Parts: sequence; C-alpha cells; structure tokens
Amino acid sequence: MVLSLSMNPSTPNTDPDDLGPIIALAADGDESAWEQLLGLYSRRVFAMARSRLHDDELAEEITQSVFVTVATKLIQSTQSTSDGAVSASGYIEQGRFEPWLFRITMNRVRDLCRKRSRHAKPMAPEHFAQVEGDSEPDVHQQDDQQSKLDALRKAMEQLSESDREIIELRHHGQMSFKQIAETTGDPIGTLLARHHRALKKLRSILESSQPTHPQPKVRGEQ
Amino acid sequence: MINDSQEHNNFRINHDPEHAEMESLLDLLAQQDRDAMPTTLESRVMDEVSKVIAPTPIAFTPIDITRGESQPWSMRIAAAAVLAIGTTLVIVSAQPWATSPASSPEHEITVASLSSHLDEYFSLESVDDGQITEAITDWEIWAQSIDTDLYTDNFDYTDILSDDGEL
Repeated sequence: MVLSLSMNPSTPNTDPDDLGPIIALAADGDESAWEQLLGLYSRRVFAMARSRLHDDELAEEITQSVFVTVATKLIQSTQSTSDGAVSASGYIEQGRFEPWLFRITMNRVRDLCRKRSRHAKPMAPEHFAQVEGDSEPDVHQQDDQQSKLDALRKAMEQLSESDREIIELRHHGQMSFKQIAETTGDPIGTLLARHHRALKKLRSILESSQPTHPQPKVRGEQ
Repeated sequence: MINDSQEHNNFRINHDPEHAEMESLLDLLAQQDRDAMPTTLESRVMDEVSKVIAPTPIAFTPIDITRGESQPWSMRIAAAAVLAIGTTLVIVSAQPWATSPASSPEHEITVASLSSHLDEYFSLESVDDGQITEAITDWEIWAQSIDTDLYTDNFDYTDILSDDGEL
C-alpha cells in the first residue's frame, strides 16, 4: 500500500481520514507505517515533555516510552479483534489517534513531574540555561527575541498545571481545540477560556518582569 | 495562530492582537523545543518499537549430538536398572506357575458344590429322627475322604457326585 502522507514533522492536524490507513498498517506491524507515525509525532511528543521537564534526556525517555506503549496497545488491540479493526483498550476508534497519543504523553509527563516534586529539588539555574534556546552565552542569547523566549519559558513555570497543559497541548503538540477537548475531556468553551486566561497571565508576568529577568522558580512550587 | 482559525471561527476571543503576539512567541518556543530533539532519537524509538511489533521468533536450539556424552553415568545406570527390573517383572508374571491353584475356576466350582452338600447335611441333621444317623456317619467318612483328596493332583473334581458322592 502506498502511503502519501506528508512526512513534514511540523505538519499539524493530520486529517484523521489520512491517518486511518497508517494506523491500521501500524497495528499490523508495518514498519514503514511506524516510521511515518514517528515522523509526524515524535517531535511534538518530545517538545511537550521537554517544555515541562526542562531535561532533554528525560524528554527522550518519555518519547520512547510513549511510542512503545502506543505500539504495544495497537498490536494488542489488533490481536484481540478478528476483523483487524482497532477497537480494544486505549485507541478506541480511528480518527482519535492524536488525542490518545497526547493523553499518554500528558500522563507520562504528569507522573514524572509528581515523582520529581516529591523529592522537591530546587531547579539549578544552569539547568534552565540549558533549556533556554540550547543557549551558550553567545550571540544568540543577546538576541532580543531569544531573550523574550527565555523570559516566556520562565513565565510558563508560574502557570497552574491546567493552564500550562493547554498551552503545551496547543503550541507544542500543535493540536486544535477540538483535539484538546477530546484529549482532556473538557468542553471546547472551557478550553478556549482557559487558554485565553493563560495567555493573559503570561503577558502579565512578562510585563511585570520586564525590567529585570525573573529568578528561576524552585521546582515543586508549581 | 497555529491551526484552527477556520475550525473555530465562532470563537474569536484569542484574536486579540496582544494575545496574537503572545501566541506567536509560544509557537516559536514550541518550535525550539521540537527542533531540540536529537536527530538519532527517531531511529532509536523505531528500534524499540520494532521490538514490540516484530513477531517473537520461536527459539530453536539445534540438537547437540555430543551433549549425550556429557550425561552422568549414574543416570544411565539408574535407567538400565529400571529397565531390567521392569522386564523381569513382565516375564515372571507371564509364566503359568505364577498363577495360584487355589484361585483357578475349577477349584471355585468344587468348593461351591461342597458347600451345597454341607447345607443339605445340616438340614437333614435338624430333622434327625434317629434313623439317618448311620447314613450321616457314612457321609462324614465320605466327606473326610473328599477333604483328603481335594489337595491331590489326581482327584477328578468334576466327577464328585457320580462316583461315590451320593448320601
């Protein structure tokens, strides 16, 4: 079967009708289908984990475990149905793959955050510096836009978990509000309002911190 | 705005220009995080996924002919002993002299016949009017002779009544 889906990792909102055949092939263990799925989603999953954890290695681990979980469940679901339709636990029906994938990602990130918060280690400033635009103290950090991004990353630390989640699902996961609603189970109106509130709060934090850069927030105070 | 401006035309609350600037900054930040993914990660994840989706090969271990030589001698001796004992038991149980004569069908018939005669004797004794005492004595003598002959090989068990078994 020829698959014509774009491999551009930045392609958001893949049409579920296009995704269906790929999911079906992936559930049958087709490697090329899995390569396509990884091309489409691995960067988005990684970005969500990285944004929250500020740790590249942990983000890699989460990305890996998410896709292994997805593969396991898809294979199991195919084995449990006689007609090959994917309908068992986890991924219920075709067209809902993205919400399912990002729900797994979100849960993994949450679990890891909870584990880390129990230890309540203060985040080292150099750790923030590592994430901030992969920055070394060079010309990039002098860039005005990069400074804004660094400040924005710090401001996100001050958002509540639910506000931050919707920002990350929306921008890092590149999901539509409809998909976010399917992922979280919240009404779209609630999500729009929450997103609006989160943006407002971020702007407020950035405006208040413009004269001086905020100090890195201590982990565990989220 | 990333994507669903058309999808959510009814929801214009995020189209505030100030929020649009914030959203574009967030998009840049997210792009930075996506680009930070190591180029090798995708292939590493694929390797892990391949382990899940690939059918588990059936473990096949070729038979090692030389492995038999390494078996301990004690196992071989024990197996030989069990085989020898089993064979001996089968041969012994198949011999005709292994069967007890007391359990032969002919003996069982004879004993049943004698038992019926004894029952007759006791019934006669219960109605004894003194005239059959002599006959009983004769019967007892006959019965003793039968008892003696019962364990001899030459006795014809099937002809016990026709010979001199009558009362």
